[in-house]
Amino acid sequence: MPRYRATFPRMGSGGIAIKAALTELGFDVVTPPPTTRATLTLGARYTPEFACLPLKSTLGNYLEALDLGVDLIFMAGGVGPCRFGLYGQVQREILRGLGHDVPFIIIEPPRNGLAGFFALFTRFLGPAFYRRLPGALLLGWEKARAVDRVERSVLALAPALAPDWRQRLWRQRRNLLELIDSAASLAAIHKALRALREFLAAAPREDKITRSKVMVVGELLVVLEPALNFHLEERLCLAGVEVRRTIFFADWIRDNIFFSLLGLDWQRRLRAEAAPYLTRFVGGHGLESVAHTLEAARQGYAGVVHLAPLGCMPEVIALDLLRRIGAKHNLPVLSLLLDEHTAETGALTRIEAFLDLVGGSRHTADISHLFHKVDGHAAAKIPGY
Amino acid sequence: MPFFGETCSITRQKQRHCISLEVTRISSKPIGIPRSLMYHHYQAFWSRFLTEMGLTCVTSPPTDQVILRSGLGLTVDEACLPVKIHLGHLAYLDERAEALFSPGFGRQGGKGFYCPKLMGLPDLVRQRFPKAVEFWHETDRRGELRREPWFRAMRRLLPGLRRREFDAAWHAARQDQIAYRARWEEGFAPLRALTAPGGRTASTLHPAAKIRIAVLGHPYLVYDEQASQGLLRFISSCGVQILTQEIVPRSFADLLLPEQEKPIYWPLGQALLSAAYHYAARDKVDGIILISACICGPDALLGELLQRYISRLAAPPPLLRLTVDEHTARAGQQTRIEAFLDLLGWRRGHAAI
Repeated sequence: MPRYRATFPRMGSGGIAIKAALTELGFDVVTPPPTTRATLTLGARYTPEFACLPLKSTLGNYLEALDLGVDLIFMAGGVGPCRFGLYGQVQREILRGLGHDVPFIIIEPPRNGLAGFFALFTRFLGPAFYRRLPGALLLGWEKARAVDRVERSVLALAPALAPDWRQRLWRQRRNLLELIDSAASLAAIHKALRALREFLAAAPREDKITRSKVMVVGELLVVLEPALNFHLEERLCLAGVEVRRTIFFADWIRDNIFFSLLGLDWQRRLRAEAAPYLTRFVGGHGLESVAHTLEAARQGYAGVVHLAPLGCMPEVIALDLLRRIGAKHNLPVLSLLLDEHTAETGALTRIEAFLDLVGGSRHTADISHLFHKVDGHAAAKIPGY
Repeated sequence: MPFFGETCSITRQKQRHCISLEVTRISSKPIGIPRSLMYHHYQAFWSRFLTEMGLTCVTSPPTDQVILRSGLGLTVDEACLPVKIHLGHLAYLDERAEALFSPGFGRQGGKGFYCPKLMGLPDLVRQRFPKAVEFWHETDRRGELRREPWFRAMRRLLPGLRRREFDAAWHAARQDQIAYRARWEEGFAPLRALTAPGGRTASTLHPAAKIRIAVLGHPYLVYDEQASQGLLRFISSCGVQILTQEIVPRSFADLLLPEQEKPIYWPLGQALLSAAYHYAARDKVDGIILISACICGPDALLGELLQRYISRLAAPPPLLRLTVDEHTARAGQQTRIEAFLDLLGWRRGHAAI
């Protein structure tokens, strides 16, 4: 069978795992170009005005990938209650309206049994699909976990380093992600993780400095995709803030796919944590945002950065409740509502003001690093930058 | 608080407040029912149930400027207009009742959902209104409302409540609700289904009119005069026959369009698409007006899908999309509607188009 060129939406470093799984299955993966202002403008041109940012950015990704030539597009589906589950249908209609006849495959819980679901793949891969599936899933999963381990380690280590070492750390993070991305086997992944451990061991720590601890919560795509949040995590890290991010790709797969398939109530802990303010699942990451903010309040974090697309419904609930939590617990909460018009300078200025606010005697952030120029050249190489 | 005797010099708005506010009974606790969100779908059930339980129902008046403005100040700007209006109604009732009926809306039909904001709403309300009692609406696969959350809520209000009394009230209210819905099938949309005389009718608001228009949208926009800027009243005054989502025959009420692979997981949203399909293909109307709230999550996508699907049918009717928020000006909206009606009249005159 010919190798079909497949593409998928950019969603931060999660793309590394998706690319690996699709390649192993037998597709020629075309990674969409990095998301830029132009991507958002392109996507926004053809989507409803009040649709949320992820719809626009992913459609922009597809249109740019189509320029490179693809045979089919993969997208995740869903069953609500947030809008994400309808993206696939809406985008398919929009692309059709624009004259793109490319098959659009929506991956979601199969309604008509697994046979129908697998048929989506065997149509392009033939029966070889069944043979390759376990290996593809395993490789994708291992890469997802490795990427998360790199990212978590970097966030944990950064606060303990001097400014120039933080810069080196961030470059090393990029190198490690590239290594994982190009790994063709589990052994190669483990080699990359070994390189990570060596770097961690070698970096000189300065334990005497206390940093402001900031928690980052919000909607999945705008937290994971640096291009949508102005590379917030990188900037905060370089500015010497201790960042705790609450959404990681492998965790999300584990919770929403593995645990859900097993019927486990993995949200119980979140509900208990969010209890006085939010008592139930409201779709998306609304419950997580509230639960983690309360956790931040109880554990003495200096502040919370809340990232959400404008109009995101679960996050509007969270927005309302986070303001109350912030007021009640004296915890600074910065809610950034993002759409295609949000300007980088404006967002960074607000973050700078926020860091001034959360500072005080514990603050030793070097704020000038907040405005550091992000390396765009590197972004072109790996899916997840 | 004005009473009936003082109505002479009071403006019409305040008169409405008087008329809808029942004089407080001596016997039992007044509970405030907000005339917002799904009120127009569930009003028969709510008032019958609470009355059977021995509570006095105090319903807020139709939304007006005062209620809207108080609601705007109670939550974040990014919340949609219906939620702001709902909070305004609760603020109105907070001063006039001892408990507040705070509805929340969860899974429908075992699989679908209402919008996330309606799911999180009771929690939002609880932060501001300590008197709020949560009444959770969740229906199973047969469409039956789950009783347990309501029993818990009633126990809070009436400690020592016995299951038998509760079940009796539930049964009575359920019958009322079924009868109410049956009136929709006869052609009486929610605004008139309780008060109109018996028997069938071919139209809802204006019989024997020339142009037929389907006004589609969520009930808390279509039937709320403030939110819709008097849409139904204005169109009706132009001599138009109005048809709505609720009076679509039940067998067509959630039929999928040909291009739909799966039902929309918001049943309210699927009802919208199915109604559009019905009025565009089966019971053809001259035009469709779709009203949505700004920043309404579901409507942003549903409006897009509706527009595309309907345009692919044979000879679809023209579609006018109206988006409203708290800044919408009545005059501007009326101008657009007038232009739309002119277009429909012109099409009628030039039948070849």
